[in-house]
Amino acid sequence: MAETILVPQEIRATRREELRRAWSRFRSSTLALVGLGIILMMAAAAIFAPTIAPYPQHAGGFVDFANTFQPPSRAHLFGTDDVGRDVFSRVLFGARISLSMGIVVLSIALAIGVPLGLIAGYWSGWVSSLIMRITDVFLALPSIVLALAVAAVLKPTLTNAMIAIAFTWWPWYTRLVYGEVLSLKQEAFVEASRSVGAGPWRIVFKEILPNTWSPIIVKLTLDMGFVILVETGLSFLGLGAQPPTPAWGTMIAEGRIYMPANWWLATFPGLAIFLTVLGFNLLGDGLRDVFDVQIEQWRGGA
Amino acid sequence: MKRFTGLLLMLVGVLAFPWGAFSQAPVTFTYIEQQIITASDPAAAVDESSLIAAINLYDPLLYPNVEKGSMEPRPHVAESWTVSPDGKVYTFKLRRGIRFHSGRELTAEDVVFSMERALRMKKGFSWVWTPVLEPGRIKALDKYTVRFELKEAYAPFLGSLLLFFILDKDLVMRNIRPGPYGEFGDYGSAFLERADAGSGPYRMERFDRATEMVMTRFENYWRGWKPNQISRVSFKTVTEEATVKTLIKSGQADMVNQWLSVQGFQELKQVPGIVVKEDPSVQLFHLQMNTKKPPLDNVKVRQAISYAFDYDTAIQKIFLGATRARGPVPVRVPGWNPKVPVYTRNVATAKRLVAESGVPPERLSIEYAYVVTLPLERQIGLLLKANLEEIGFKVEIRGEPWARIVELATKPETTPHITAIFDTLKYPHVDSHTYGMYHPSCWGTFRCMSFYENPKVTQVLEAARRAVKPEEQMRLYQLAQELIVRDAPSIYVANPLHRIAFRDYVKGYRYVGLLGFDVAFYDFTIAR
Amino acid sequence: MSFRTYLLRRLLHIIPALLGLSILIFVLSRVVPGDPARLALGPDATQEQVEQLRREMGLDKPLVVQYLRYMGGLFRGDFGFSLRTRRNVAQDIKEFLPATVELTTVAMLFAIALGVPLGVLSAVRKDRPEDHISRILALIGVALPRFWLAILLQLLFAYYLGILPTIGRGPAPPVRLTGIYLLDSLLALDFRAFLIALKHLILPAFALSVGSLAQIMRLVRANMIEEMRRDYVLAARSYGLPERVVIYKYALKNAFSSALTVIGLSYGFLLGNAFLVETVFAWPGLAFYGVDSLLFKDLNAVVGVTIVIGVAFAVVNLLVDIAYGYLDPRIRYET
Repeated sequence: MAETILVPQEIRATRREELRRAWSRFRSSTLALVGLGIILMMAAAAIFAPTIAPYPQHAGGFVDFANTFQPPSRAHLFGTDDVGRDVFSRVLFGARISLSMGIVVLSIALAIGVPLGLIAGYWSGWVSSLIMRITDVFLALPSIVLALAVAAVLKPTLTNAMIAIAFTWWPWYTRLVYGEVLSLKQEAFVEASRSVGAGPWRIVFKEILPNTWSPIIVKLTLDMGFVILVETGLSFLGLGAQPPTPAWGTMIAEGRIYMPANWWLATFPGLAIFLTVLGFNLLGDGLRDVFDVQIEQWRGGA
Repeated sequence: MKRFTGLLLMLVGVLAFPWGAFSQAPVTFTYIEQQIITASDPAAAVDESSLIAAINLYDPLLYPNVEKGSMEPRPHVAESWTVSPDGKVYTFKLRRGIRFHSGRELTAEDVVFSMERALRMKKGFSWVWTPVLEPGRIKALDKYTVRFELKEAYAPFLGSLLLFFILDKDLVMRNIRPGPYGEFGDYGSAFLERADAGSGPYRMERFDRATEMVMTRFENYWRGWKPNQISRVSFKTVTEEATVKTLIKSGQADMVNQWLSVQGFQELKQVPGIVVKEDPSVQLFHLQMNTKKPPLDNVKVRQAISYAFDYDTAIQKIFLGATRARGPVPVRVPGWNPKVPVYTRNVATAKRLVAESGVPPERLSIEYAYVVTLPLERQIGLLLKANLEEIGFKVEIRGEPWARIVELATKPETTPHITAIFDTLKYPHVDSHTYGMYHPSCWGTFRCMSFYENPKVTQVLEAARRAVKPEEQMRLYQLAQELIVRDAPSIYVANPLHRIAFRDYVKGYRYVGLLGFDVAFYDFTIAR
Repeated sequence: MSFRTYLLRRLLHIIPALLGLSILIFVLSRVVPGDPARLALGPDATQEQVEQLRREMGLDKPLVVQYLRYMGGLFRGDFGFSLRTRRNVAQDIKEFLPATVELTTVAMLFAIALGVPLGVLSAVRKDRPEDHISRILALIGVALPRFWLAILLQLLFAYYLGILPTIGRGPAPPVRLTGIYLLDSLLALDFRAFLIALKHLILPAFALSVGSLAQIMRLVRANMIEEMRRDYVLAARSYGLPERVVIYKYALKNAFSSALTVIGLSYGFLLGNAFLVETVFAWPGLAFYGVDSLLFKDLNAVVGVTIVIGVAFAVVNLLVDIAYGYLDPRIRYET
C-alpha cells in the first residue's frame, strides 16, 4: 500500500489551501450566507443590547402601569407588555440569554464530551466500553425529556436549566469524537508519529484532535439552534428563567394568555427564536457542505 | 401524486360534512376551572375546585341562604336546630327521606360518622372543629336527631357546618383499604377518588384529576328536579387562560371560573352572548410574609415592606377596580374593625424602618412566589420587586403551580418569604379571617403561610371563640385585628371584585361570598 | 452477520442502556430534598406516623435496596404512589399513555404522508421552483419552535376560523378498548366519534409533525437524487419504462428504505416535543401528565414517565430496524 506521508509544512500548506477552497464553496451558497447574516445580526443584538435597546431598563423588573398593552408603534416597535415594558427591548436582551445559554451549554458539552470521546476512541478496554455504555444511557431518552427531568429536581432558574441541558448534551460529542478517532487512528500520519516514538496523549491531543474539528464545528453550529429550542421550551414550561428575566420562552408563556387581543406579546419572541434557530441551521448546513462531513443530526431533542 | 390529492380531497370532504346534525347526545354543561381538583374527598377539600366538587356531589348539614343573597346558614339536611343557653350543645333534627346515591336513606348515623371521620382524618376544614369536638362528642339520639356537645362555646360553629358534608357510612366502610387511620384504614379516601358517597344533586360519573370530572344528575335528589335544570356537567381543568377564553367565546364552555385575568374579563365583556358578572367580594388578596424566615422574622422589616408597597397602582392599574384591604378581614364582613391601622405607601418611613431593623443590607434578600397561572400575581410581584428595590431589597420572583404552593405551605422552611394568596371567607364569620389565619393551629395550610405567632393574639382569639355574648365576641375579634395588623404578617392589598363569566342562556347564578357555593350547578337553568 | 444475530446484539445494547437510565433517573429523584413520606401524609401527621410510613415505603433502607425494590415493583406493574393524583403511577400511565401513542403515531403518519411526496417532488423537479419551495418549507419546519407554532395554529384554526377544536381529545368513544380514540371508535363502528377524535387530532398532530416532516422530506430528496443517478434507473429508462414507474416503483422504494432509520430516531424527537405540544393543547397524554408531575415535583411519576418514554423510544427504534431489514435485505449488519 503506497501512501504519501506528509511532513508538517506540507500539511499546513494543504490545510491553508483547503480553507481557501472551503471559503469559496461557502460564499457560493446563498442560504449559508443568509444564515451567517442572521446570526451576526442576533449576535450584534445580544452584544449591543444595552445600547440598541430603546429602553434598556425594561429588560429587568421595571414596571410602568400607565403604559401597558400598547400595540406596536414608533415608540414601541413590538408594543408593550402587561406591566408596560417595551417588548422590543426585552426581545433584544432575550437574544443575550438564548445565545449565551447556547454557548455555555455547548462549551460544557465539549469540555466533557470531547475528552471522553478521545479516550474511548483511542484506547480500547473496559474504560472505553464503560464510557460508551454511559452515553447509551443518556441517549436512551430524547434530550428534552432528560433535561426536563433534571430541571424538575432543581429549583427553576436559568442556571439550573443550563446545567440540565448541558447534562444531557455531552454524550453526542463523545459519540461524534469517538467515531472520528476510530477512523483517524488507522491513518498513516498517526502511525508515523507513533513510529517516531510519540506518546499516546501527545498523539491524541496533537495529532488526532485537530483533525476532528470540522465535524465538531458543523455539529456545534447546528446544535446552537437545538439548544436554543430546548432552552426556550424549558422556559415556556416554567422550568427555566423566572420573571422578570426576558427569556424568549418565558415571554411567550406570559404573553400567551393575552392572545389574541394583544397578539404582539407572544408573536415577536417566537419570531426571534425562529429566526435564530433558522440562522444556525442554514449556517450549519452550509458548513456541512463546505467541510464535506456527514454527521447524524437526528437527535431526540428540541 | 394524483391519488394522494384525491385522498386529501376526500378527507376534507368527510371533515366538512355536518355529521353533528345526526347527534342526539344529551347536552352537557361545561364549566372550566383553572386549578385542578386537589381533593375529591369532601373531608379534604379546602380550595375552590375541590369545594365545588363537594357541593355538587354531597349535601352539607346546613346551607347558606343563597335565596336571600346572604351567607347566613339556613336549614338543609338539618331541618331545624336548638342551642343550649351556655352555647355548648347543638341539637339538629334531620330531614326525612334524603337518599344517598346508593339508595340508602341518610340518617343520624351518617352524620355522626362523617364528623368523626373528618376529625380523625384531620384534613380539609377539620381544624375548624378540632378545638371543640372530638369523636364521641357527636351522638345520634334517634334516627333523625343528632347532638353535638362542644367542649366550650364556639362562635363560628353554626356557620362552619356549611362546610360539613355528609357521607354514606355503609358505602365508605365497605370500601376501606389499609391506611393510616387504624381500624378505619384509609377511611375510604382511595375509594372516593373513583366514586362519590354523597346525596348531592349530582353523582360522579368519571374523575380524572388532571383534566375532568363528569357529573350526572341524581334522579332521586331530595330537592327534586324542575325543567331546564342541568342534567350533566363536565367540570374541566384548563390552566391556560387563552384557551379558557377561546372555549367560552366559541361556546365550547358554558361558564368559566373567577381566576381569569382582569384583562381577560374585560375582553369577554365585549363578546355578545357572554355575561361577566361582577360582585363585591368578601375576599382578601394579600401577600403573606413568612415570619419564621429571616429577614422577615423582624417586625420592622415587615412593616417597612408594608410601607413600601404601592397600593394605589395595584388597585387602579392591576386590579382595575377593587376595595383597598384594611386588615385581614374583608371590609364587608360583619365584625370587620374600621379602626384597624392601614399602611400606605411612604418610602421615607419604609427606609427608616429598614435602618432601625438593624438587618444588614446584604441580608435583605427575599423570594416572592405566586401561582404561575395567575398573571395578576406576577404583575403584583413585579410591582413589589420595583417597590422593594427602591428601599434596598433584592427580590426574586418564582411562579409555582397551585398544588405545589399548597405543598410548600406545609413547613416554614419550604414556605417562600412572600406568597401571594387570594383568600375567600371560608365560613360566614369574622373568625375565618382572624383565627383561621393567625392562630398557630392552622399552620401548614396555604392560609397561614405567615406562620404568625403572638401569644397575646392567640389568647384574644381563643377568648373570642369562647365568648357567648355577641358584643363581647365582636370586641375581641376586633381587638385581634388591630394587634395582628401592627405586627404586619401580610401586605393587605385588596378586597377584589369577584368576576365570573358565563353564556347568557345560563340563568340562576348568584354570588354569596362563600367559596364554591356560587357554582352549585343545581341552581342553574338553561334558557335557550 | 445474520439479521437475527444483529437484532440480538441490538437488544444487548438496549437493555443495559435502559437499566442505566432507570438508575440515573432513580438516583436523581432521590437526591432532591424533601421527605416523600411527610409529603404523602400532609402537615398534620405526627413524626411517629411519618416514621412508620417511611419504613413502609422502605425509605429508611440504603439507596441500592430502594432501587432494587423499585425495579421489583416495576416488573409487577407497581410504579409507586403519585403525590399529585394519589394513585399508583402505573394506573396513571395506563390511562394517559394511549393518548400520547395516538398523537405521536398520527403525527408520524402526517410527517411520512407529506414528507415523502414532497421529497420526491423536490428531487424530480430538482432546482426548479417546486424544489426551492419545498426546501425552504423544510428549513422553516425544523426551525419553528413547536409550542409557538401550536399557539399560532390554535389562534388561526380554532379562534379566527373556528373550524377545529382548541384543546383536548373530545369525548371518549363509548367503548374503551385500547384508549386510542381513533381505533376505539372504528372498532365500535361509531364514525361520528371517529371524526370528532380526528378533528381534535389535526392541529396537535400537525404542530408536532413539522420537524419530522422536514427531516423526512430532506432525506427522501437526497436519497432520491442519488438513486436517480444509479445505473438501474438509467437502464430502466432506456428500456422505455414510463417515468412514473421508474420513480415510484424503483427509485422511491430504495430511497424510502434508507430514510426509514431516520423515522425511528425522529420518533424520539416527536416524544420530546410532545411535552410542549400536549401542554399547549391540554392533550391528556403521558407528556402532559409528565409536565404536570415535573412542575409539582411528583417524583415517582417523573421516574415512571421517563422510563416509559425510554422504553417506547427503544422499542420504536428496534421496530424500525426490523422493518428496515425486511425492506432492504442487502444490508450487511455491523455493530
